[in-house]
Amino acid sequence: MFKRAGIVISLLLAAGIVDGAGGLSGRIVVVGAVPPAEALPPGRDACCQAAGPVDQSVVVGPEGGLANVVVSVEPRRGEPAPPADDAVPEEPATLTNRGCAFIPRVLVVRVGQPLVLANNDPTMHNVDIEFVRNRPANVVVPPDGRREFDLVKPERRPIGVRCNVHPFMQAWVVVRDDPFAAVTDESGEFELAELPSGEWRLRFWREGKPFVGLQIGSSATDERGEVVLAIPAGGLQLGDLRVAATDLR
Amino acid sequence: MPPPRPRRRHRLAALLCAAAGATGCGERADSFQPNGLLRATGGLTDEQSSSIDAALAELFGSPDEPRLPPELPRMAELCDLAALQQAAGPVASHEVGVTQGLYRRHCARCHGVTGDGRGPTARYQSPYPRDFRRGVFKWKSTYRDAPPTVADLDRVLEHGVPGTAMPSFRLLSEEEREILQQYVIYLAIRGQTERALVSLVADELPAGEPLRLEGDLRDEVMSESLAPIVAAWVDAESDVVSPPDSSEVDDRLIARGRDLYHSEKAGCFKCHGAAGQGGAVAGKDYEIDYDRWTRERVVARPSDAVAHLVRQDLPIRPSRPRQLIGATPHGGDATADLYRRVHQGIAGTTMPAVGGAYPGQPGSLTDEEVQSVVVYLQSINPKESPL
Repeated sequence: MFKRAGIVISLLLAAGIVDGAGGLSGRIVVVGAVPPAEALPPGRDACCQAAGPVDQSVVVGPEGGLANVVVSVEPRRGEPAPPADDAVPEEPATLTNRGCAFIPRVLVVRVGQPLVLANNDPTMHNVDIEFVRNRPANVVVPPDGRREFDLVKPERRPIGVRCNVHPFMQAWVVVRDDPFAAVTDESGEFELAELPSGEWRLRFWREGKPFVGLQIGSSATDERGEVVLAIPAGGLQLGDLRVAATDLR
Repeated sequence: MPPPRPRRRHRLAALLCAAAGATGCGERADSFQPNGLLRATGGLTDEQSSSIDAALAELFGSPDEPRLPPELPRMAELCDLAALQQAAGPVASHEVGVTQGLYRRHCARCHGVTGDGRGPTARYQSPYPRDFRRGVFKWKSTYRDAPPTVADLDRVLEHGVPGTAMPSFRLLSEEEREILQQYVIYLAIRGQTERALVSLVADELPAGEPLRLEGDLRDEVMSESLAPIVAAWVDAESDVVSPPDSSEVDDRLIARGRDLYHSEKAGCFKCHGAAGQGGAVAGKDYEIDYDRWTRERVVARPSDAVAHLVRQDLPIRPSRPRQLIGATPHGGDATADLYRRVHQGIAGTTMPAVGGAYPGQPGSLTDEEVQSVVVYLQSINPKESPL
């Protein structure tokens, strides 16, 4: 891995591609009326009934921004990868059960960074994470409980997280070995500040699946949710990327 | 590669099968069944899919002629090639007391020639027969994410799985059971390899590019994907959950277990019911949940290809929390079985772990608390079965 990254860096330097700070940002905006999120039958736990969980598979902010879209750099084998730093955050990435929902819905965590499962609810939850390249886990997290896990390999796709006691709960964990993954916030904005200039393959994910047909300039994400973008030295601001509300459900 | 079998064997096999009234067991099977759903959800082209079949055939051979990949030397610690050859192929016997094709003779009607749990009788069973291809097994002594030990598989073969269609194979010789156990591991590792290769093609290779398992790519796949799969099987013995020495069972321990069962700390009652009646899930409209094997087929907004495959497959059945009173536990009711089941949950299912996920990791219950839940369960469910 390091060897390959090293070769890529040398190649890029030789070609003069890595010549600026770069950076990529944009905002995903929903066009058209989005129906209000459906309430989910909360089950028998009083705290879940009080919290009134709603379907969060489409979360749109007040100004139409689409939240929880993952934007990541995912070169195919043989393609250049941007050089990544080794600075893994020491503070844990925490997935919290609160109001019978996982907060956040999409969590990005680095290999080597502790993954913490926490519970702020007065009810117990279990956290079922279907890791593929890391140890899969399905553990009980009691009220005020805390479980910690180590991640040893990046995952190739967002990994689904569920609670089997409250099966309406859903989250996604993105495990990376570089800093080149971001999640859109409530305003639909994302930023890959550290992405150096160069030509990189980007992948867009929504609800664990490739985000297909997202229009970006003159191209659109393909069946795998991928698009290749050239990032100039001064960075690239994609502006508003529009998606029709009817395509979301 | 073993020498081609003489024709005489086919005639014998056909005769034996006709005598047994079984369908299909004497037929030759040139290839394993591809995991179509996995490939369709990965968006693979037909060419990519065929390239994976070719790579799997090169590594593991066919249902009639098994092979062990030379680059995975540790596989020989689990599977002896001569044993696999005796388990594989059509049913035949050329020597008194020696049966060829043991897997097709005893297992394939339920578990399928490929070990995909989709043999001809699978549809009529509840629960469905185990699909070996994930390498995930429920009834075992190891930590949740570890494969079963050889002894675990032997035990299932010897005793069967009470309360299910899986019978005891105690009438077979120990040697034959061992051969079958090795063949099950072979099918599991082959299935896990298929999964790893599909993931590689779907998410790492350039779009549309078929798999060419050679050169640096081959070395990397062997060392980074396949060797760890084999190592986990070989090392399963070191991942066994050891129940503490049986503590004195007294009313206080039982009471503690009862409190935990009904507490938010363990939460057993939420699914298994206040009286252990089973089936209860928080919320009547959300009773539906699925195990790993089934969840893969519950696809939101499936493509036409995926929807077609799901329709053709076994009907989807939700998993239900088990009844704890008056029902035979599938995984055995010995104290150690119950302890491990509470401590680690049940691999591949919705039943979570309250113990640590690996040795030394603190769980949400201490080992003693787990023990107290076990003695409580035993107290409400007096043991009747001799198992």
